Amino acid sequence: MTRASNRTLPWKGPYAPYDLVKELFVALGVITLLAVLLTILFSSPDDKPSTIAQWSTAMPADFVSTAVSELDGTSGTAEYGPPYNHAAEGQHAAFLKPQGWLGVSHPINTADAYVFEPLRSIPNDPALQSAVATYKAAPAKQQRQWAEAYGKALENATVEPSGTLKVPPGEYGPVPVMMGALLGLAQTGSLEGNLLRSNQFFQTDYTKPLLFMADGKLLEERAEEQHLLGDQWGMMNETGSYPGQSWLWLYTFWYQIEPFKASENADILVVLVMTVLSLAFILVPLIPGIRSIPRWIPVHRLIWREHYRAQSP
Amino acid sequence: MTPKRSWTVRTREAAVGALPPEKLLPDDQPAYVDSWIYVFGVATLAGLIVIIGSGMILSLKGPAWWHDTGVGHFFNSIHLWAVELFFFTMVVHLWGKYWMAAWRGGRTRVWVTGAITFLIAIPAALTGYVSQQNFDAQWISTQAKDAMNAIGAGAFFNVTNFGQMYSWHILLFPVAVVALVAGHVLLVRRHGVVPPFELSARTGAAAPSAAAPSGAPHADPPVGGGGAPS
Amino acid sequence: MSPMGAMFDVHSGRLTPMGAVFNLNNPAHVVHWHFIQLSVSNIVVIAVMLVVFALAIVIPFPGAARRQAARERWRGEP
Repeated sequence: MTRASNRTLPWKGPYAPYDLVKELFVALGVITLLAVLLTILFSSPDDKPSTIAQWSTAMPADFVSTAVSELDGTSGTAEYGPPYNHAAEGQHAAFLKPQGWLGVSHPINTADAYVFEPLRSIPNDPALQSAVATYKAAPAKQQRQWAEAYGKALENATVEPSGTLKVPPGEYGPVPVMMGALLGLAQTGSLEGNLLRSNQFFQTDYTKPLLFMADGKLLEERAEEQHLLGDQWGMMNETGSYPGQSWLWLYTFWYQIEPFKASENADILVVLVMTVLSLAFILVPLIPGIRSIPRWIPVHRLIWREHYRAQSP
Repeated sequence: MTPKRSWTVRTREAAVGALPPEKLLPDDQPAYVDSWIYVFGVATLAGLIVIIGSGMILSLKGPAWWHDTGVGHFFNSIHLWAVELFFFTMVVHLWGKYWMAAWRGGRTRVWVTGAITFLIAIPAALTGYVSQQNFDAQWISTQAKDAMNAIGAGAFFNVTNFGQMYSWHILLFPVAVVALVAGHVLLVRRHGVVPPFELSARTGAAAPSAAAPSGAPHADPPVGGGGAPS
Repeated sequence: MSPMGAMFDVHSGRLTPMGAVFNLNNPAHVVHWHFIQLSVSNIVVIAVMLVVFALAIVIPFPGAARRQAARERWRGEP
C-alpha cells in the first residue's frame, strides 16, 4: 500500500442534485416516528429492583446463609480478590494479571460490612452485644466451626410464622443470635440504608448492597426466569420479551464454548479475544484478504447496478 | 507568505482549506449515489439525535423520574427504542460500507472512525443499562463487574457505582460518540462518497484499484472524458 | 402469593407497562439450536436487519431520471 494508491482523487464524473439537509430532516422524521410507534406499541420494561427487605422476607434461609458466608469469609465477595480484598489473586491470562496489578481499590471486609457494622446499629440489646463480643473473642478456628455448622443447619431450616428461622439443634455458639438480629433488621428494611452508609452524607454508590445480594440466590433466580444468565446467552437479552442487545452476540458466544466455558479466567480470556477481534475490525482496510472479499463477492454489482448499466455501451 | 500567523488565522485557513463551504454542504452528489443503502448513515445519525434528545428530556427530572410517571416512562421508551434503531441502522450501514469496500481511495480513516464509534457505543449503552435503577440494572451491574475486574478496569470503572455510571452515561460517553461521529462525517465530506469499483472491460469483474478516484465534491466543474471508463 | 402483596411479585417484579398496546413483560420465548439460545425478539430483530439490508440494495433509489440527465449532460460537454 503506497501513499499514491491511497490518495483521494477528485471525482471527475457526473454529479446530480442532492439535498443533504433535507435528507437529514427526513431521516430524523422517520426515526422519530418509528421510535414513537414502537413506544406506543410496546413501551419499555421496568422490572422493579429486588430489595434486601424482600430477599430476607421471601427467602430468609438464603439470606441468613449468605450472611453467614460473609461472616466466615466464604461468600463470593469474601473470596473474590481484587478490587475488594486480597483473598484471591484474581484472573490471569499467561503473564497478564491486571486484576492483581490494579490492587484492592474498593476494600470490603465482608464480616465487618455485612454483619458487625449493621449489628452495631441495633441499640439497647445486651444479649446481642454479648453474642457479638463472644464471637469476636473466640479463636478463629472456633468461629469457623460455629459458622460452618450453622450454615449446614440452614439447609434444613424452617420458617416460623413470624418470619424467623428454626434450625435443628447444634453447636452454633452466638451465631444464631447474631443472625436472628440481622434477619430482623433486614426484614424491617433498615439494612439497605445501613449498607449504603459511608463517611459521607450523600450516597450514590450501591456496590456494598449489590455485592451482598449477588452473593445470595434471589437475583440469580429472577435472572434465570428472564433468560439473563450467562449460559442462557443472557448478555444479549432484556427482561420480558423485549429485544435486547443483539450486538453483544459475539461477546457472549465465547463464554458458551471451551476453553472459556469452564475456565476460571473466562472473563479476561474473552476480553482478550474480543480486543484482538475489535482491533481487526477497526483495521479491516489494512488486512489482506479480508479487505478484498468485497471485490471477490460482488454485492457491489447490485448496489451500483444503475451506474454500471449507464457505463456499458 | 507572512512569516508569523496568528493561531486563529492558521486554524481558520486549515479548516476552510480542508472543508470549504461547498464541500462541507454540497448540493449535489456523484451520480453513483444511487442506492437506498446510502441512507443508513444519515439514519444512524438521526437515531443518535433522537437518543440524545430523549436523553436530555430524561435528565431534566433526574434518573428516578421515569419510574414514577407515565410521561417519564414514555420518554424512557423513546430512548430505549431509539437505541435499538441506532444500532440497527448502524449495523446495516456497516454491512453496506463493507461490501462497498468504502475505505478505498484514501478513506481508511472514515472506516476507522466508524468502527471505533460502534465499539464506543457499546459501553455507552452499558452505562445506560446499569443506570436504570431497576432489576435489570442490578443484574447487569453485578455480572458486568466480573469482566471489568478481570481486566483491571474495575479498579476505576465501577459498574455498581450508580453515581459514576450515570455521569459516564449522560456526559462522557455522549461527548465521545458525538466527537467520533463528527469526525467521521467531516471525513466523508472531505473525501467524498467512495466511488464504485472500476470493472474490467474484459471480464466485468472489479479491477484492483490503483489510485481509486474519490467522490469528493468537485472544486472545478466536471470535465468530460475523465473519470469512469465506458 | 408473595408476602409483599398481590400487585408485585418478588421473583418477577413485573407490573404491566402503562399504555402499551402489546404487553411484552412476559418471559421471553427462546429458540434452542445446539448450544445456541436466542430469544425470539432478538431473532426477529436480526432477521429484519437482514431483510432490510437486502431490500436496501435491491429496491431502486428515487431520482434515477435526475441522475441519468446528469450523466447525459456530462457526456455532452466538450
